[in-house]
Amino acid sequence: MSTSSLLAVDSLVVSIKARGGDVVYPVRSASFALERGQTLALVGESGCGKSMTCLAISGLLPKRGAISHGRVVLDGLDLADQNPKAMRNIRRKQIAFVFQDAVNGLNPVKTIGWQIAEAVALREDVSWHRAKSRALDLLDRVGMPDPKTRVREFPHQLSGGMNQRAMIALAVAGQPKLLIADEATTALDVTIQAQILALIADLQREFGMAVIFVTHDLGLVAEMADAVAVMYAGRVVERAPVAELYAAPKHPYTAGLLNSLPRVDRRRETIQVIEGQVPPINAMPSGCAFGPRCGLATDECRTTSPNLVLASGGALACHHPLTGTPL
Amino acid sequence: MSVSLGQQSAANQASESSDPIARVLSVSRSFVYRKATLMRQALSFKAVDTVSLDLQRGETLAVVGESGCGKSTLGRLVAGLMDPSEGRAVFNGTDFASLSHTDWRSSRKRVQVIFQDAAGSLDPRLPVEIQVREPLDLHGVGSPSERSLRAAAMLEAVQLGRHLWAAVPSELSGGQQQRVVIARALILEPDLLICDEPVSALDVSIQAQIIALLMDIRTQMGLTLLFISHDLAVVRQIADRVAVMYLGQIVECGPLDQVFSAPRHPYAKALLSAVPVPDPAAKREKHLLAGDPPSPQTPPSGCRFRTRCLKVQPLCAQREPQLVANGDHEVRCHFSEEPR
Repeated sequence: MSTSSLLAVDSLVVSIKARGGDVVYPVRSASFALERGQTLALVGESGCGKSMTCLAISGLLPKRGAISHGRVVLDGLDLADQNPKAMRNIRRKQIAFVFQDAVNGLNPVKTIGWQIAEAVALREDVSWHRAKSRALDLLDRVGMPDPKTRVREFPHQLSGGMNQRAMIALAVAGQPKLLIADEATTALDVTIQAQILALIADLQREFGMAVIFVTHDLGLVAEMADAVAVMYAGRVVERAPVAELYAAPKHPYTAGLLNSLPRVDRRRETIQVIEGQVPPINAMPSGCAFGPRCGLATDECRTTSPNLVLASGGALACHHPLTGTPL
Repeated sequence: MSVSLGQQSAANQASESSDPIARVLSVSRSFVYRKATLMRQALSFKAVDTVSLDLQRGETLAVVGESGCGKSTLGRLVAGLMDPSEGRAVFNGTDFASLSHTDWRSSRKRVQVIFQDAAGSLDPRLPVEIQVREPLDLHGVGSPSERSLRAAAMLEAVQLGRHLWAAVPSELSGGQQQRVVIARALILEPDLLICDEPVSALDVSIQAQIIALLMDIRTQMGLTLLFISHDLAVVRQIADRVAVMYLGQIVECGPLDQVFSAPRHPYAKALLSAVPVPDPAAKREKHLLAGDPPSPQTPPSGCRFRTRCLKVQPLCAQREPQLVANGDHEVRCHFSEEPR
């Protein structure tokens, strides 16, 4: 993790007080870094902590949640130390979010144009008139069909794809250094998803933003990301540049996922299945959380949880990494 | 898997001819979106517009397309769960419309449907073992003890851990719930199983488990599968034949490999190229479509795809292309790619 990284997340632990006083840990150990202008994919299945990690980065954890350990450093600034007001400022200018559910991410009682103009006005000291015209430019820039009409419309009047474009316009209005796309295209049809992904890649180049894609779609990751962090049960278990991860996954979970994926370009001889399921958050097994589903697990795996150790170009948390040739 | 799964359906197959097990003949289904009042006529649109399809015994036919293309409605028409507005839906040589209530009920034994929302398909308060046995109870199959044995065999076949049999659905994970739904659908040993997005709500590793299970059981029971999905990667893994739908119509239909490796309709081509491949080394040509699909309430004149098509010509707006067969590969386009 170099000091010049745009974002460095180190041993992040997020706790949430459940009802009844129990404390659960949706994120138990997340470490990764992101360079300026680069794209990181945070991959994993539901409940693996990928969204919580991003909420922690941007100071948007729910009320009962807190960063209980670890550091989040954005552009040299430790975000865990910031008060809510300072975090608001950081979100205003440096971090932007695009969610899966664009309709709920937008304000239903304000026009699209008003919302984008607000984001512009919050960042820069410009007249409302000027902010409105910037909003129109931005809508045009994100490929909104007929932007002059849409700027005066409300979210419910737009299709899913158009709402997602509006949300992206809103996100880039503040010219953030970091864009977090949390399952941003999951709810969209595949032809619309392709449009939105192309748009994000375009804007990323234009504004020099770094992007974190939070997703479960390993196809999307292969197309969009420079580096990947695979999460399982609250931990980053493997981190690698995208080509290396797909060519030679070292963690049995990563390898298992890649082997079980159906692909559109060819039929697999067999689908190899990872048996079992992710352990529930309040009943984590001792040792490696993936141990009970892993074919290579030994006594060591059942007793000691492997630490994330730096390895050639990436990092790995496994007692028995795969070394063989690609699958 | 133990027990006599599949014997009955194998016998069914032997006793019947090689006619398609299910077919729809020029079916359409309209839905009213503005009711009639004194002064104005009702307005309706066709969710499925003049679709004909044959399902051969033992094959897996996938129906693919994006939201709102009519694929789920088509599935319901094939299942006889919905009456067509026009055309006929035929199962095992009999028109659903001609069946009496009793016959229709008994035909239900032969066609079963599973949906995406497993939790919503199950009774939230009944132990899953009883839910799996229930179809046998309702159809009065065998003695009570036989039914329990068959339910147990079925739950084993779908690999649901024995300690979960007395659980209620909320105590199960999404994947386990879908296993129960599959067990319940298959306990009557149907000939045709209609799967409407069966794995779309599941996580990647669980999705693979359910696909593997469906493929296993399909072979063992000699099932015919109508597999409705928007996920083309899953379809490539499981289907023999595929029909691509756009705005209520089939635009391309043919053997899986032909359609996937050499799509001839511009929409099929764009759809396939838009699916990301989990391989950073794969360099694929993308055919990005502009815009959203038009509303089915106001379909474009002529070819329905023309508003987004990259190859559009003046003719496309004037004349609606027909589905033209070349061998077993049908395409609806004035300017379709040459067959390879």
